[in-house]
Amino acid sequence: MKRIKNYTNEYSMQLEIKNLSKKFNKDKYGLNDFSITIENGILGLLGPNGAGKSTLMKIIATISQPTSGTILFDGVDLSKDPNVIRKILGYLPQDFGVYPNLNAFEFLEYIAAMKGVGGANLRPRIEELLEGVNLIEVAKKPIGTYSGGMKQRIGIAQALLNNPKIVIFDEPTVGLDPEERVRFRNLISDLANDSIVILSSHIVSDIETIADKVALMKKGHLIQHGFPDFIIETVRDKVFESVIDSTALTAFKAKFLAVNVTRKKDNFLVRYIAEVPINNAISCPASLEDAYLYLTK
Amino acid sequence: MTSLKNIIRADYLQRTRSYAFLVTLLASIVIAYTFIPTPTSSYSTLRIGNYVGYSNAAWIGHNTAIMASVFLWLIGFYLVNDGIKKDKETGVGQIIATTAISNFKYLLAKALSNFFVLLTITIIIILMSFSLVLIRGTGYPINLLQFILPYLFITIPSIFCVSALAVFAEIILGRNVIIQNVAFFFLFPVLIGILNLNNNSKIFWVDVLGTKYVSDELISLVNHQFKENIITVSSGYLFGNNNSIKYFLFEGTNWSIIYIVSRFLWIGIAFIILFISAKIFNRFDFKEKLDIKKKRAKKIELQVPNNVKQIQLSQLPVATPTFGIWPFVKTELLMLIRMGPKWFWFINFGGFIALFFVPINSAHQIVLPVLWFIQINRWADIATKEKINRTHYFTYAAYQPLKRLLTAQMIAGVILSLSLASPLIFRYALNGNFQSVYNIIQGSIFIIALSVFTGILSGGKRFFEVVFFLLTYCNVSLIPILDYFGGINHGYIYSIIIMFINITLIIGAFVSRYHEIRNQ
Repeated sequence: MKRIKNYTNEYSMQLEIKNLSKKFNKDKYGLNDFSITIENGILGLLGPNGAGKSTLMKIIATISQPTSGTILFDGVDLSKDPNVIRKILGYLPQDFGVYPNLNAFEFLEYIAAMKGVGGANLRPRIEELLEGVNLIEVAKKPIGTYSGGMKQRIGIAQALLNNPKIVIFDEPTVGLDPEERVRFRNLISDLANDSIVILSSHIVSDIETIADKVALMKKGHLIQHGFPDFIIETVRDKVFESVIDSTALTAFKAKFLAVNVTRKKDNFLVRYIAEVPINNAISCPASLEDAYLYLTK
Repeated sequence: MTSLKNIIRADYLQRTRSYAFLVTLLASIVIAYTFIPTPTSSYSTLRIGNYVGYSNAAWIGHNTAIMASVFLWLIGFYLVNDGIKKDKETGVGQIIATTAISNFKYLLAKALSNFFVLLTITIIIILMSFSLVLIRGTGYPINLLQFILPYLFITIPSIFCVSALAVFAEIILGRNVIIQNVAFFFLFPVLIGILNLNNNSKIFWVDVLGTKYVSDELISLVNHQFKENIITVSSGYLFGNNNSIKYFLFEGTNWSIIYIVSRFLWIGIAFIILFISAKIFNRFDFKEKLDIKKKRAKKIELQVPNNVKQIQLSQLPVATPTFGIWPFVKTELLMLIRMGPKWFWFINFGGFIALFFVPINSAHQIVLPVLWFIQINRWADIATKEKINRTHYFTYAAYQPLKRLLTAQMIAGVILSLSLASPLIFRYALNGNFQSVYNIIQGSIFIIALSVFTGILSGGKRFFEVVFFLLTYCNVSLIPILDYFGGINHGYIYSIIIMFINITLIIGAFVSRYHEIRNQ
């Protein structure tokens, strides 16, 4: 008899990742001894390319097996019983595709069947989701005719079909225009009330705006985990702006970590991180992006 | 020249560095082994009347070169006819289109890459055949020249032509893979048919396979040596009459200059085909040029209105848990039906009607396997579409993906194949011939199980397409051992064997999908 849990709004879930490693070959690790505990709310994953964000998300989504380590969802080992999470999972992969000959309704009904949801409410739920991602007008056209952004929105809709309690979004804002990005952020905030949401993005401002907690990753390791303010604390009073002559820019960059360079006529306005700045530097409030660049450099 | 070499090299490596190619090479070794039967085998592969040659280097070389030429024409086209399609799908084509490379140079590179892929298989066959010369060979010293020359004159020009033809088919028929596959299926018997039109030895000028000249040489040798009046050579897997086989000594062919020139002529024709293709090729813009009106109508422009409803998740109707497989079956069936051009269903309808009215034996032995064959892309798509469309992230994370999804995919395939065969099933049922009904059902399961198993194992469609083409070709040639759908009247034992093969394939499909899901 399989354990069936009713995930109500009051229930707090826990995803416990212990010493997780994924080895691709002799020398290359996707994840290396990665441990973290994730609870209800939004966890933003940040890290440069190859940090292991997508690998971690695929393993949590049960489509990839770890080389070692465990993931416990409310105490149940996912590698032994992946179906425990599959019923309550919403997953938007980074480079997913669609069946071009199906229309949006047919595709979402198909995905709903995979997730094991149906009944009389399925069609109205799909309609509302399609309205919410602004695809209802074209819902009867083959998905093969959709633009990249529209396909991304279909991806978002499918992740929400089964009232998921664990939601994994891998680079969800790719291809979305600014208005859609704002709408997506609002949606995520609504989701986080009673779910675990794991979100990766290269756009640090997206993570900074919506994540409750942030995990910084580099080369398969977890290098920082905590509230955004806690991570920003690592560069507090270390962020400055100075005007640098164009001839001195290269030497300046070699000495300091420049996080932003803006051209100002013959000079450059450089935002940088330093323990001791140069003369006439202006101290700036630190941001998550500063901390991210500082910690992953 | 360097750029051409680099393109060919990259293309060749891209194609050969795959599990599917490794499977193809292993299959080639096995097939090459069967080209030279042992004296106790129940078949022969090259026979002049009742005569076969002693297994010396010349005979093995000629026999395997002829078989390789025919075999690589049969499967070669299916193995290599996706080089340009891949460039289009991956977007590499658009990058190529912006470079300075000429159409001819690009297509030549593709054809040469095709050629080297087929040449690799040929080399495997040569190595296997040479091992057979060493193991089973009679007559020393080994005549190396007469072993290798048949490959040079027969097989190599032949595979060069099919390489160019594959490029031409991709240019002419573009995205219509179904039409490409079906057109080639009907072209091959035409080529063979031309050779059998009459006994005019000059016909080797129209013999792209290059086998006619050697066949004539063999006939005249046997007729002269044994005072016979044989007029044809049989090649392929020839079953029966093995007890009456007589052996003769074959020391090689007297290669005439005219024949050698004819082979060069075919290479020249291949270049002309490429030249014509280059004139037609629109550098990955052909769909736009042909369908410009259609595309305008299709293009979806959607503005974001100001009053888009915000999703309130807590307010959405709650869908209830249902873990049945019928919604899958419905959608899988829908996808199978919608594959390919709509007008192709007129051809299917023609086949469907033919199954009602053609004499029942012909309907079963010829129409049914051909009707099933022309759905090859649908069958090949069943278990490979997840990877091809990159939806495997969803399907492999589905609730019970094996028990529910894979089962539903197979059921949908069987429903479609049985629906196509239904007129014949109906006729047999009316006659009370339930054994044939059972055999057709088993045949239908076999196709689907084979496509799913080979698709998952090889990670693509190609392997199944080649196997299914060979199988169908053997079916319409009425080769009993490969009759998986009871076209030739077999007993119950044969039906039981097919059932066990089906069970094995289904188990194999589930096990391989299980491993695929676990080892992403």
